[in-house]
Amino acid sequence: MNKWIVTITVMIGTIMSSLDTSIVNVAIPYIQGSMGASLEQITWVSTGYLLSNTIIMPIIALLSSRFGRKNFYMFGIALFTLGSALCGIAWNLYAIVVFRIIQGIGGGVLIPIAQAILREVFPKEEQGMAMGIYGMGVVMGPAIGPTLGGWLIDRYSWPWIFYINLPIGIVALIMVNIFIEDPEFLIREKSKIDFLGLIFMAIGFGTLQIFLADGENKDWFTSQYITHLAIIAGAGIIFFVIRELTIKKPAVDLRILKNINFTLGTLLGGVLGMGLFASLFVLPVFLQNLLGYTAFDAGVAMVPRSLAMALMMPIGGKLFNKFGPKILVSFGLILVIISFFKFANLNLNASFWDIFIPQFLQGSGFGFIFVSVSTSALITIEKSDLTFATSIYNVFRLITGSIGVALAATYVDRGTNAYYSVLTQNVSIFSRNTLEYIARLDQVLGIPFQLPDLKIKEMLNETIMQQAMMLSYNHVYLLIMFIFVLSLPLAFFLKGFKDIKRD
Amino acid sequence: MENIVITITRQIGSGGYDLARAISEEFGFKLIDRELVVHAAKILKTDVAYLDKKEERTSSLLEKILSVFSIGTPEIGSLAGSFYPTDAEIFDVQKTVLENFAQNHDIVALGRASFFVFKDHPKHLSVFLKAGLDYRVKNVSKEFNISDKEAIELINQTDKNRNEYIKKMTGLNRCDLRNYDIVLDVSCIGFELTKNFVIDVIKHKFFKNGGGR
Repeated sequence: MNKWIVTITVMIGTIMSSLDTSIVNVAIPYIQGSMGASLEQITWVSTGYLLSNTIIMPIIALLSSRFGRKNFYMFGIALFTLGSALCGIAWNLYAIVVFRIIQGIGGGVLIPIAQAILREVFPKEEQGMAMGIYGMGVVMGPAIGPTLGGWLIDRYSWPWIFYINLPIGIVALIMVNIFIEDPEFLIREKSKIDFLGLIFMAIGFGTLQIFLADGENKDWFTSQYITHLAIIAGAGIIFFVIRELTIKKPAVDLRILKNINFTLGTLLGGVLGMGLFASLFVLPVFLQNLLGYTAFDAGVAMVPRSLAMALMMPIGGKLFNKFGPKILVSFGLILVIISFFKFANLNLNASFWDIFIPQFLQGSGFGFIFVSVSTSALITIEKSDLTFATSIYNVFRLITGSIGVALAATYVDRGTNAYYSVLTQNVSIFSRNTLEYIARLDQVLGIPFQLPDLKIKEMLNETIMQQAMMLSYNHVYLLIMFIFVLSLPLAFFLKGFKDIKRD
Repeated sequence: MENIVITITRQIGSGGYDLARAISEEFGFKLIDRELVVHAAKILKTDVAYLDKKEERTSSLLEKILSVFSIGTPEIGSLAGSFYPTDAEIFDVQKTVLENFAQNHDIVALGRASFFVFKDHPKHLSVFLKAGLDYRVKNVSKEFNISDKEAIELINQTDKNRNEYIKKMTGLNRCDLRNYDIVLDVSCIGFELTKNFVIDVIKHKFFKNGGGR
């Protein structure tokens, strides 16, 4: 096997899968319109994918050794491609969520298996380079995703962000079939899969997400439905934890969490995931629905974040040894906090730079935090446990990311209603501000309006609605900012190479 | 009481390893060579083969960038199944491992900027071993079973890598002879004489002249 051809082969699947973490976000307003869904409901398009990624992740190694790596990888590509095609033809919200779940299962398989294949074809001394090349490919996907997605939507329509995976998936399938072989020493093991643990995990965290999303709407525990959800989520998570701590071969080996440094890193990684995925979901919707960006422009507006991440990660890596995780993570968190603070103070007249600067700050902060937290979290783990630990780290990140998306969308929806109701209380023909606003309309449009005119009411209503939405977005950004503020003290307990050496 | 530390900085093909082994056998000092790499790899959670490739050379800009992306990305998560540490991290860990060895044993350390690590150690003797090109080519081509031309290329590349490595990690010029207590040209006086001379100096410095144990 030529290692470079294998690299190109697995990169195709990887970029396709990593593209889908971001490409869908610019299409959300369009899918929402097609499906007639609320923002809160449409989050399932995003979180369904994340949650199915989460559920498949812990069992990938087991399934891969049971069915053969090549077969399983091809299964992943086929499922992802099929899921993509089905998403494109989805006829209602339920259909697209189910198809996204199918797509997520396939997509979740691709990245870990591709890594395993690369580790095999490159000698150990070259694996660092191989993983680096692979990582750069993985960075490319989310970076170009929104722009490509925006272009496809503006040029064609939203289903094309899914259809584009079809030819790529077919090429990837053919190439894998030709160029990738399972090594002879790969033993097909038939070890038992902890399905019960996974079912508890899916029930626990899935229900937790619905609980968090619907809680405020139903006034929390005054609703029997929410109380039931809380009980199911709590029981699911408790059974999941007990199961994973007591069986010999758990799906997710939670015993690694005894390592405090790893647990802290995982928690911070979770906060990062929550902020990142929530922000990735909310921003394109905000730019398109409120600032009137086209899908392509919204995609382009997301580039500064990816660009900053790609630029700052190598710098963070270089500074990690010198300053250690405490300083770097704190610095990154402060950048992210400033960026969310800036977003929380945006208004409807936001300019290009008002979006660019906080995005760039956020990308820089995420870059610093990710490099330091990922290294620090795993640095105290024994090498033999690294794969399990990485899986837990990623699973937790996806769960919190999914919760972040659900919460952000819920608060945008609820906030809009709440702010709308507050704002309309102050709008009447007896209000001086209202009369001044109508007078301004006279000047701007040059048409003398007479009260009560339906057109004026509509325009007023639209302005109030936009203001209410703006305030609710501000509110969500402020909430995310506070989550990052609260996580700041955790940074001071992380360990770097210097601490490990001292130990 | 401080342990004795002998550091040997050597040009490839000058017989540095043979000298280190001879000193180790003569005095029963612990020879630190491969063990250092194995220990460092364990602490850094990386493969020995990866550290071997990084031995006494600095990474290119591309390698540095790639090593960061091997961690993963915020959107996709961590890719780590192994760590790919930076040059500075490797140097720092190797320095600590060397210092730990020196706390517990009398040691002979070979290369890896050990002369710099122990520059302030009270019982340190630093040796720089050099040789003429012909002498080195002969040894290198024999040891690696390669042609003379290939040996010259290997020598030039290794010298360049080691010089850059020392400059980057310590800020010192590896070929500045003021860094060392003894500088010997093996091709001039032969290996036996070199070995005996260094052994005599060690005896004189640490075991006879009131500096011994």
